[in-house]
Parts: sequence; C-alpha cells; structure tokens
Amino acid sequence: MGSETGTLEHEAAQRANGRHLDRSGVRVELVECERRFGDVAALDRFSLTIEPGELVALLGPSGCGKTTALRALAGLEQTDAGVVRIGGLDVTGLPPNRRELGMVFQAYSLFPNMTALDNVGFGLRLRKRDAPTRRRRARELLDLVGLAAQAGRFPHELSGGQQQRVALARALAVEPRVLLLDEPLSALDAKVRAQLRDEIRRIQLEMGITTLFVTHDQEEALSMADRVGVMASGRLQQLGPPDEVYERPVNAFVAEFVGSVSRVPATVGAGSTVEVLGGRIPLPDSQAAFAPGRRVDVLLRPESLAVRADPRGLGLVVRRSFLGPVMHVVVALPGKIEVLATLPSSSASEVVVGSAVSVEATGTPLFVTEPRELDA
Amino acid sequence: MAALSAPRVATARAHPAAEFRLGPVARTGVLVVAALYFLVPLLASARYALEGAHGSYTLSSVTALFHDSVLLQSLVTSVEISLGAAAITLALLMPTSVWVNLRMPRWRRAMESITLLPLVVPVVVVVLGIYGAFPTGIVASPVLLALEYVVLAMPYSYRAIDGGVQALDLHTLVDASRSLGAGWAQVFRRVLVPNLRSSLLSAAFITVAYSLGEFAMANLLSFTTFPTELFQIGTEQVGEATAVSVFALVLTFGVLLALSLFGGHGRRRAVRAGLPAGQADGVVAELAAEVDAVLGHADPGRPGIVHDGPTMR
Amino acid sequence: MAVTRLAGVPSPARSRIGADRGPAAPGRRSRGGRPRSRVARLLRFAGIVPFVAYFAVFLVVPSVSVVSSAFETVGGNFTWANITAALQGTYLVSFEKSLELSAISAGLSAVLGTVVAIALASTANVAARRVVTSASAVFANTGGLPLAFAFIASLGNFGIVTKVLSAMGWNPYDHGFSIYTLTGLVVVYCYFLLPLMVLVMLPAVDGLRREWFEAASLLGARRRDAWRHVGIPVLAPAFLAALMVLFTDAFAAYATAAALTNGSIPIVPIQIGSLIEGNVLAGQQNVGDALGLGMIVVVAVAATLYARLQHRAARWQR
Repeated sequence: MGSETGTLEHEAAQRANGRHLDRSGVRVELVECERRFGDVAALDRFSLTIEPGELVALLGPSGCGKTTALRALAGLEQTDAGVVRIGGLDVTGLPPNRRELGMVFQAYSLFPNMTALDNVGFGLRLRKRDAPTRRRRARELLDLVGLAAQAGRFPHELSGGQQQRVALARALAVEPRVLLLDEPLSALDAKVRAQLRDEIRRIQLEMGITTLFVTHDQEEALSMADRVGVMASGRLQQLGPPDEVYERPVNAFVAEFVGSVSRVPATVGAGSTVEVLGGRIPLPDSQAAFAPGRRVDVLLRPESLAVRADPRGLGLVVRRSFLGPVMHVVVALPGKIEVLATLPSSSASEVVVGSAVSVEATGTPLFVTEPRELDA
Repeated sequence: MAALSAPRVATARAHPAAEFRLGPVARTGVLVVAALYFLVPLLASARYALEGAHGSYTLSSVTALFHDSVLLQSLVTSVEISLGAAAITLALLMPTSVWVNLRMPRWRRAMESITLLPLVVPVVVVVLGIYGAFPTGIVASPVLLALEYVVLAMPYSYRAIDGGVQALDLHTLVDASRSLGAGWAQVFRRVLVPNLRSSLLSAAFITVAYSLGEFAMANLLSFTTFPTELFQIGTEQVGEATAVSVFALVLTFGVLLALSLFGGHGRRRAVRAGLPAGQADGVVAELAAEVDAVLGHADPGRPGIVHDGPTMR
Repeated sequence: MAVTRLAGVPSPARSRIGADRGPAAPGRRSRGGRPRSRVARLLRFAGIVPFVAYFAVFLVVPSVSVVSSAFETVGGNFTWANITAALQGTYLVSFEKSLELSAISAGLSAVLGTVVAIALASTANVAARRVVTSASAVFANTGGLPLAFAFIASLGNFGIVTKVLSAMGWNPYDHGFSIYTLTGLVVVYCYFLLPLMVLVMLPAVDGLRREWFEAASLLGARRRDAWRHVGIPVLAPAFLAALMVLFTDAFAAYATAAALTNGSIPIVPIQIGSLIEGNVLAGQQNVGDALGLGMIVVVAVAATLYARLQHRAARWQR
C-alpha cells in the first residue's frame, strides 16, 4: 500500500516537474467490483480492463450499472467489494480528488461562476500553477476544442454543445491519467452530437489517453470505441471490437440490444441448419450444436430478410420508412410476428403499406436462442 | 496520505464524492439545535401561560382573558380593520394587476418594484408622516389603520395577486368573454375572480394576518387593537398576555398551514421561483428575489440560483 | 384587421377593436407594443390611476412630509436644527445602537440561516423539509408581541429556561446576560430573522448541483476548495439579497423591542415612538422627522452598498 502510494506521488511529482510521462495512457482495471442498492445489484462482480490509450464504451439500457462502473472508477461511488487499479496502482481507497482523472458529465457540470477560461484553468489553479501558465494552458485547450473565441463567456452564455466542449477542455487541462465520459452527448441535439462525437474521438486519439465512455446510444458506442462493452444487470455481457459485438453477439441480450433484429420462431433441422419462414438456412458456426427438431427462436438482421411483393404471400406490410438508399419495411406475419427488413429503395416500389408480401430468410441468423415464452 | 495509510477494510469502500450536502451527523445536529432554539420559547410560553399554583396546570389565565371585555372589544376592532384592509386590497390591487398585465406589460417589473417600497420606509416613519401630513380628524379614525395596512401589506399581497394574474392566459380569457358579449364588470365577476380565487384568497389571508398582528402603527396612532391591548395586559400580567400570544401563534400556524396546503397558485409561483412545490413561503422567498431584482438588476425568476445554460435540454 | 396586420403598425385603437371583435381578432400582440398617439399612450395608464393615487396618499405623502418636516421649524421655516439635534447625544447613540443591533442580528441570522438551509437541503426526508419550511414561514412572521412574551417566558428574569439553568447552578443573569439588553434583543431578533433566511436560502442551496462538487473533486479539489471556489460564490448573490432584507427588517422593527424592553434600549424606532408619544422637548417637535429621515437614509445607503456588492457577486449571472 505504502509503496504504491509512493509511486503514485512520484509520478505526480514527475509530472509537476514537467517531465512528461508516456502519453500513450495507462491501463485501467476494475476487478470483481460489487455494488448493491438495496436488492438491486448495480455492479455484480464486474470486471473490466482498459488497455493503455484505448477507448472503451460501456453500452447498456438505463439501470444496467454502466454509470455506477464509471463512478466507481472515478471514486465518486463506493463499492462494496472489488479493486480498482489505475496504471497498476490500487486506487480503491483513494478519494476522487487524488485519482488524477478527467471527467465529462452528462450536463450542467461547468462552474457557473467562472468563465470558460477559468473553468478550464480550475484544476491548474488547485495545483497552484501561476496565473499566466494557467491562462496559457487553458487557452491552448479551448483552442483544441475550438472555443478560443468564447474564453471570456460564462457557462449560461454558451450553448449546450459549447458547454460540453469546455467541460472536455477542463477535464483534459490537468493531463489526467484517464478520461471518463458519462453520457456527455445525450443532452445535445442530433447534429451537435455527431459533430462532437467525432471531435472527442479525434482528441482522444491525438492524446492517446485511456478513456471510458458510458452511453446508452449504440451508434455512439459503435462508432467511437475501440472496444464496446455491453452491460446488463450489473454484469458485462460482452466486450469486444464494435464489429464483433455487432456481428457475433454472445447472447440474445447483446444481439437484441445492439442493432436491429427480428425474432422469428424456427425449428432446428438436420446438418446444422434451421428451418425458418418456410426456408432453410445454416446455423451460426458458434451455435451448430443444437439438436435437430428443437424449437428455437432465431434473431435475424434486417439485411438477412428478403421481402418481395407477392399477392399470395402471408406477410402484410404495416410500416415503411424511407431512409435514402434503403427502405425499412415492417411486415406482420401470421402468429403475431413482426419483422423488420431492409431493402434497396430502388426495388421497393411495389412494397407499399397494406400490400401482401412474402418474406424469406437469407444468410445466417445472428443468434439462435430458446423460444420466448408466449404470453397468454 | 491519511486516506491511503488507513488500513483498507474488507469492503474496500471508495471515498464518497465531496458534496455540498452535510453528512447525517452534521445535519441532524444543526437541525436539532435549530429546533431547540425555536421550540423552547414556544413551550416555555405555553408552560408559563398554563402555570397554576404549585406546579399544577390551569387554563385560568386563558379563560380569564375571554371574560375581559376590553380585550374582546379590541379583537372585534382588529377583525373589522383586517377585513376592511383585505377588502380594499382586493378591490384595489386586482384590477390594477389585471390592467398592468393586459395593457402595460412593459411596466410589470416596475410595478413589482413599486409595491416593494413599503418595505423601505419603516412603519414608525410612516406614522410620523401621518401625524405631519394628515388632518387630525382622519388620524382619529381607526379606518385609517385599515387604509394604511393595505399599503403596508402590499409587498406581499400584490405579489400574491400578480402571480395569479400572470399565470392566467389573460388575453384569451378576456377576448373570449368579451366576444361572448360580457361587459367588463361581468368579465371581472364571472371570469377573472373565479380563476384567480386562490391568489385572491392568499392575498386576503396575508393582509388579514398582517393587520391582526400589526402593533407599531396601531400603538403609535393610539388605537386600541388586539395587539395593543395585549401589550397593555402584558405590562401587568405577563402570564395572561403570553397565553393569548401562544393562542395567536397557534392560530397563525394553522392559517399558514392551510395556505400552504390549499394555495394552488402559491405552488405555481413557487415552482417558478425554483422552490419545491406546496410552500407557504413562496411569497417571502420571492420577496428576496424581488429585492435582488430591483436593486441588483437580476432576473426576478431566479433568487440567486444559477439556471442552466439556455440550450441544453 | 388583415390590412393593419400586414402593414404591421400596432395601434391601441386596433387592440381595442380587436378586443371588441372577439377571440379571432389577431391583434393580441400589439397590446404590449407602443401606442401611436400621445392620448392613447396616456389612456393606457388610466387603469392604474386609483392605485397610484392610493399609494401616493398613504405612503408617498407621509414619507415626503417626514423628509420636508425634518428641515423645518415648527413654524415652517427652513432649519438644520432638527438634523443637528438628531446627530447628537442620545439620538446619535440610538443610531449606533440600531445599526449595531440590526447588523449583528442580520449577520448572525444570515450565516446561521444558511447553515440550517444547507442542513435542510441535505435531508432526503420530504416531510421534515415541509414541516421546517412551513414552521419557518410562521416564525419569520412571528416578530412583535408574541415573540417578546415568549422570550420573557423562557429567558426573562423568571423565565423557565432561566430557572432551569439556575437550578443547574448557572444563572445567566449572574453572568452578565439579560434578555432586556442589546444582546437579548439580538437573540430575539434572530428568532424571526433566521427562519426568513432559511426560506430565502433554501432554493439557492437546492440549486447547488452535485455535478459541480464532483467535477471540482475530480479536478483535485478538497471539500473546502469546492466550497471556496464554487459553493460560496454561487450562493453569494442570494445571500447578499437576503442579508439586505434581514437588515432592513431588523432596522425597522419596533414592536419586539417596545414590548421586551419597554423602551429602555434607545434604538431609533423606539426613540421615534417615544417622540410621537409626546416625550418631546420644547423646540424639538420635528426632531422625530429628522430621525425618520435618518432611517430612510440608512436603508438607502444599505441598499446602495448592497447593489454595489451584488453587482460584483452576480456578475456571472448576467
């Protein structure tokens, strides 16, 4: 314990002396963290390792524990058990003000009584840097987030997007070991959100800072992160690169939470196939072990469903939305099944709302799972 | 260092975030001390008022007061004065507020400031001025008290009424009723008064409460009202005077509680001022905001609270 | 109507027509706009004439009368004598006492009231909050007689708390305390000033965001740093405004002091009261007015000072 502290303080001292540490970031580990609120486990033996310089996005529905995980790392939330390590040092008992982390909150976190410049310089002020240094560094960072011109404004004079940029600059000004982003974009409107998303990623890559990003928006997570962790009920369901999480979900929850899928009843056939919607398609490689004849549900991506206008088809188009090059079509099938399919806009002219269509599964299902209990 | 060198307990709790809030021990301590400071004098007065021979309890001082015809007469006078003041308040301020909101909305803030002025001139000074400026015939009539109380309670009563009026969609209401052929008198009686009922009620309550308790002006103008008579009794029989004041206090508490429970408009205004809903004190808190607004040119809607950036959410 | 609207010239005449025509009349917005003719502009003030008249007669006239009498002899000639008299001897002392009393009780209540507001804002117990705020509303309006009696009953010579403390071997009256002194008045004034402070500060304290503290903390701030750099500056405008209200309230208070001390502590309102009641030296009939003028000046100075401070403290709100 004592020696670990020594190292941490030593590092801080080095930093203060202006000897820059390796900017490629530090490793962050949460090991077997537990946190209960009454009966609800916000963190249930939660473990996560973030590699140096990596951006990991925690994705999940509200109440899944993703924010608790981030706050436990920040030291803002107590954990009932478990260890938090930053750069190999155990910081579990350390208060937030000594963890040397930068954090951007969902909203409203700027100090209202300080200008943008003073907000950004606040951490350096606490570190007793002289005013010119503070100002220079704060200006640099405001410049980095493109707000040099707004340095003298108070938070209430800034737009939401600008406020979040200042918050980012403020978090980065103290050269934190880790950057924590707690849904920093969710209070912004769509256009600003997309813009700021790219910018955060650019800066993060530039600085090579280890980053934990918490969001409920899968598009955000998939587009920004090196790895995405999908959480549910306090546990990490799957952790992997965005494409892996999207294409090879490890369970039905991940499959249904990330991207769009349709759930269709099916029967396992011989030779690692499954019979669905009157056709036969192969089982996913990782799930080839289902016994033939078993009733299952298959989860299909919209692009694995082919919809064709067919007067004798059993499907009925209930909704259609035009998305430029492609069209989303929702089709009702017998047995209270609704499926979502994507088809090229050019070939969708006959697939209108109310028309009869046939639906066919193509390719491989995303995931095969136990049939869902049907409601009475 | 302290945090680190402390032995880590099995549960390994991280430090809770620094917070503006107080911990459970500190806040309980503060609240208990405050409660003692406020309750002890109350309980002491109750005890004092009910004190009989040899530590027994008796209601004799309370009942004695009810047989005091001078006191009862003074109570009647006070009630009359306060009802008069309330009536004048409603008759004067409601049309004024409606007019200002309807016809001269730019002056709304100015009106709010003007109605605060009675707070700036101490009551004793107003009394001096009354002696100096008013004919003696007027100064001899208790009607003067009712007339003055309207002004003295105005910082509170105007706000109560104006809050209600501002919350109405005045133009639509007036246009709609006029289009249906209602004259102005009817608009007031049939449309505005019912819609403003809770604001008018609380303005009336505030005026009545102020008038019933006002001592300085009544005393200095040599009128015998309930408070001045109480004062008179207090100089000789403190126990009995205390009994009555406890009684009066309990009554005030009841009225205010009723106000806070039924004051629908108070709630609306309270929310606007950033207060939790359902508080009787909306007016008081707003006053401070208002003073702030008048003197410090800040926005009256925010009593020193930081509001969030304009564009988020 | 349509033509007027296209022309975009708002006029009061149109508004009136609009009102007569009914709900569909699209002239609504213009009522807030500037009327065209001078007559119409004046007419817009017609509705508040009764209010203005009433206000003038019952507040402005007496106040102006006080100010002018302060510079007049009984015979109506100009003089500085009243002012000079008011700034001498007992009268000067009374101003000092009044300022001391109101500054101390307002300052003390402001600080303690803020602490109570913070404690109150820290509890999640809604019922407790509600009871305390309602009680505060009552206590804040408690000034005057009931309060004086309550304190005589508890901390007076023969008050219950005094008795209890004496029984425990510590009679406060043997240690220089008396409820009938300036110190005593401070204790009593706090009784209605403190709840007022709580009411005013509670919304401001509730407005302190957890995120500010957490953000400060992550940037390296200890609890006291966060208070110093964020908490206190953010509360400052509300605090100053409330302090101002408390000060004026205490400065103008008459009833409590009158009932408690029977005029033995010569604060300004009591002095004016006793002048009104006829304890006037020959040739000093208008000194009361000078004292009254003095009170108005003190409030005005306090307000100016406040506005200055507020201007700095609330810079970030504008």
